[in-house]
Amino acid sequence: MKRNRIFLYVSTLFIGISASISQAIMIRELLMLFRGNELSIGIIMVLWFAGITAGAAISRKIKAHQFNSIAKNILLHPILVFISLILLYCTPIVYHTFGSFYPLEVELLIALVCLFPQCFIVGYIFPVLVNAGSSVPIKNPGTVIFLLESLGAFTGGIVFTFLIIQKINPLGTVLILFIIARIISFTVIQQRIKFLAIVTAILIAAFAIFHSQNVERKLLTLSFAANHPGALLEYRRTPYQMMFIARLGDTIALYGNNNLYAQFPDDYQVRPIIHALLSTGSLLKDTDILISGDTAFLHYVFAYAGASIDHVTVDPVLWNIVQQKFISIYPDFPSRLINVHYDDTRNYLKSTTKKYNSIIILPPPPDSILHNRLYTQEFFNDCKLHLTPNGVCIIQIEGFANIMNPSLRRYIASVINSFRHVFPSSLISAGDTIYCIGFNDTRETDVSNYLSHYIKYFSQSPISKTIQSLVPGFSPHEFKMYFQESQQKYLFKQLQSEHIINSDLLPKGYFEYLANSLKQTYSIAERIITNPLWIMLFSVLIVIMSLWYFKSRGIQHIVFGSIIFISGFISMAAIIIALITYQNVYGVLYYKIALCNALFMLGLAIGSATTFIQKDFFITRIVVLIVSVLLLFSFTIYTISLIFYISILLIAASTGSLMPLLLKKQTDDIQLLASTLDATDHGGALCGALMTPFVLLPFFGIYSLGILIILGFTLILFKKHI
Amino acid sequence: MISYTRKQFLQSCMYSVQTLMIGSVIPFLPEDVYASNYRPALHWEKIDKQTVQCNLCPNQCMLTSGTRGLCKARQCINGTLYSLVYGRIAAYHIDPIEKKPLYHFLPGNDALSVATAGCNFSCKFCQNWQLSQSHPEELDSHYITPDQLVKQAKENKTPVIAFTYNEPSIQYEYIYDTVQIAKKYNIACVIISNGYLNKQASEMLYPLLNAIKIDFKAYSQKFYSEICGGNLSPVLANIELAKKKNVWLELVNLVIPTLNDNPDDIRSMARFIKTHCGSTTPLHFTRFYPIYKLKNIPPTPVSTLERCRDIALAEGLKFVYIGNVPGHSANNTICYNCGKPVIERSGFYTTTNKLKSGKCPYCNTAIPGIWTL
Repeated sequence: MKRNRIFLYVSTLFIGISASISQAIMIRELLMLFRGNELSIGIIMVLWFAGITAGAAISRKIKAHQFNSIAKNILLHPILVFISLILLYCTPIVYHTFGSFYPLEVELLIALVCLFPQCFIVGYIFPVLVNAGSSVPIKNPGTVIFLLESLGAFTGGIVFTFLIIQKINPLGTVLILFIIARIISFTVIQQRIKFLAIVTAILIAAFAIFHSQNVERKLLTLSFAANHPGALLEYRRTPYQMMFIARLGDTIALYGNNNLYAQFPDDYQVRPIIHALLSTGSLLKDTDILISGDTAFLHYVFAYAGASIDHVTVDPVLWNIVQQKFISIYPDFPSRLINVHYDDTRNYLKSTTKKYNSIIILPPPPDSILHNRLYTQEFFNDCKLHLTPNGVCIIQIEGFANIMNPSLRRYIASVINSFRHVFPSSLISAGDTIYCIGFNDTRETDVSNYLSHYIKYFSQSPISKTIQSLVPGFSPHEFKMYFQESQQKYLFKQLQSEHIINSDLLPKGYFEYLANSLKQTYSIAERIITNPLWIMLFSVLIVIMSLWYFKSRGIQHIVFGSIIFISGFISMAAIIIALITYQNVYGVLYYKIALCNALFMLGLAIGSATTFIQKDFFITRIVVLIVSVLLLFSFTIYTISLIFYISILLIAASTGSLMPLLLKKQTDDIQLLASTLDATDHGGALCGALMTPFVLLPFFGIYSLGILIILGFTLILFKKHI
Repeated sequence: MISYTRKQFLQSCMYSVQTLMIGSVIPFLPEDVYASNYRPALHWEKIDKQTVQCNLCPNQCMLTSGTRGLCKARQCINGTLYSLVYGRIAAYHIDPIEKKPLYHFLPGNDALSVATAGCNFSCKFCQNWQLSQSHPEELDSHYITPDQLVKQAKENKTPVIAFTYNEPSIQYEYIYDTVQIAKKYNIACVIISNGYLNKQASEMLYPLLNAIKIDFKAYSQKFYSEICGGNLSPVLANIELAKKKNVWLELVNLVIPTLNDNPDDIRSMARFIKTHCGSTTPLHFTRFYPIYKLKNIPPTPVSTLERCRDIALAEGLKFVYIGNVPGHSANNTICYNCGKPVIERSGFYTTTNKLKSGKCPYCNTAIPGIWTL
């Protein structure tokens, strides 16, 4: 009996660890294959919860050999993850999308095939574990199993973030999980542990771990060759992203999470920025310039012309590659004249008091919250605060070719409006790329006068010779092409009808940019996913299906299921909003996803532990939930990380305590109730994962937290039923 | 006031639901309600009472009543083919002629540039995908008659009307009418085309035009079929035809890394141009930038463009340019006889034009092109 109990505890812990590590791995690897933004995470989460929901809903009582069943399932989980990873790496080799991304339908299918089976196991095993707990027996088996699984997930998250992430590749990690599962399962499947069998299995797995790096390299090289021009030189997993470095002719291309970031040399790409800065009258010599963006030619030219350059980049690996490759092209690249700050641009601006003559921001397009935060009004305000009285801020944004559709118009308008709100004296170009020059003082902004002045000034400027020697064929006349009159008229006419702002709390620019990107795929899935009506309809359908499915299990299942569904929805929605808020404040989050996940799991464990107390404290738990959501909102104002972590912990603890609390109410057929609650919990989370990014956030932004508070209050109505 | 039949009402309801749920307008348009704004099309034949075949382009779409061609701009309504884009102008700009790019055609002048929705290709690198891949109803557009368009060109002092951005031949009827009015006002008409037109249609249109720029997307059938959704041979035939009809012709090849930068294909392309259009036909190799469905391909290395140019020059072409690379010396027109720059450009603009009556000021060699109207 004791041995069974230990086996049960260890298995539960293991499945928590395995699920949490697999989730982090799958998110990172799928992001590499997909677009790498919140939409991809949304797809992953939805299918993740769908798998768990299905597994939990289908899980039936196993009367005989339940420990064997547990052992087989924990063994099956890492095997399925391993197969998923191999499938994931092989997909781009077999199904090419040269130079582009998969249509949304294909992404959904890949995510379904890779995630559903492994998540099904995680969902299926929970009620079985609870039932096994009741037969061992354990007091409050639901609470204990929930607690142990959450602790396992917490441990997995911590181990992944601080130990695995930079040391072992995903295939190797999963093989280690397989070895552990094999050891655990041997203790049950075979009464007499066959030493030789264990050693053989471990040796084979160890051999595979040793070679997993080579296997991964070969698969990624093949996959890169099938989908990108040029030859893959190397790839690196940094804490922030997966970097691919490729050679194309005499250029070097950099990809972060499979998205094209930059190409070097970038001398022709950045010429407009050189024009933009020179047109402001900058003499470059002895001026302080802050540059954020994946460029090197600007540094080269400006440093040579005598400017002092501060470069901000979050990923040291990225900058080292840029610098190394650029030096190979321009051996006289003045690295020593450039001060590099390995920080997030917004954080850097918050932490420094230095004032700059020019701030140049060249971020990737706002296709994720991470990038969008460099296009918001709050960020432009930060830039303005760090400008000298006559300083200038220059940004570039992806523009339009001749016409704009509504999404593109709203995206462009939201960014330009935000910029002009901060810099009332500004010059905006029009075209494929829009250059915005904001002046801290008041300047001439009539385009023709401005350009004439630039042409005149440049010919007399002492800097002109230096620039022309560094930039072949450089002529101030060239700048005129970005201010074509009819394009400008069109742009400003379009802007007149849009007054929206892109802000941290309501990131309209990001959502509109995403909608415009999706429009280019012409897929039915895109049309569905970008239409809030479909998402709401789908969510309602899930609710109806759940009610229909669980009605045969009795009214108690319906009531308890509803409570857990709502709490699952709130917790998922709150976590998505929390992650977006965190990114807004601190920048790169992905390397901390597992940590946030771990924290959430710790909250669940703490929450479930609180149910060991005799009294329910149901209302208290709901109040804690509401307060924690309010706390999360306060984080957007005070931006203290401790508030963020406490609110995640409290949200998880309050929502996570509800399931064990309700499981405590049932003594007979606990597996069936566990099945209902686990299924509705993940069903609610699934709806939260759908509704939050596609309905709540686009319409209400961070203010969606208000809706979650209202939903929290509705939970109080269930008090009399429990 | 429009009166609806029951069938039209139901169609409108379906259309509304579809718009609400899918956010797009596709085939459920109540045909007769809008037909008053449509123009009967040219170049089609009736197959039976409700079926027609469009013969405008090599797609040769077979259309039953209510269906549209691949171009989204022509629809069969009750057994008659209509153009849905006649005068339905969705994009309207005044561009320097160099932006088209036309380098040997009235340099330094502006062109009133117009476009409608739709295209008979589906290029994955289309810069104007919002126009070319949209249905006419999806875009804000203004109805401008041919007469009004010509008058606007006069008012704006633009000596050229350019049908550009999307594939202009899908607004064939409109161009055909406009060109004839423009001639009276001494306004030149040019098309910026993919050259995907049936012989009968191009023979009727090309002689009326003052210049044509054809996108010679690749010398490869595979590229045309996989990346553009078309075929190479009709394009070759139209390039040849344009030259035969004595219309000023310039060709553009957008060089996309790996997809169409094979030196052998570039060589074959140059040979074809030299053989069928003559060595003085300008050829522009333009730089690709990641866009639309090919966002994950880096810009073409400038050295690749220079290599393409070297190949074309070695094959005997005399005017080979590099585009989308502002400041590059191959933006300028060099006299093929004395090797001196005769037209210098910066970005989209001509900064110096030294030609004297179309001749090199240094060696008096005639530089082919349309220099004055």
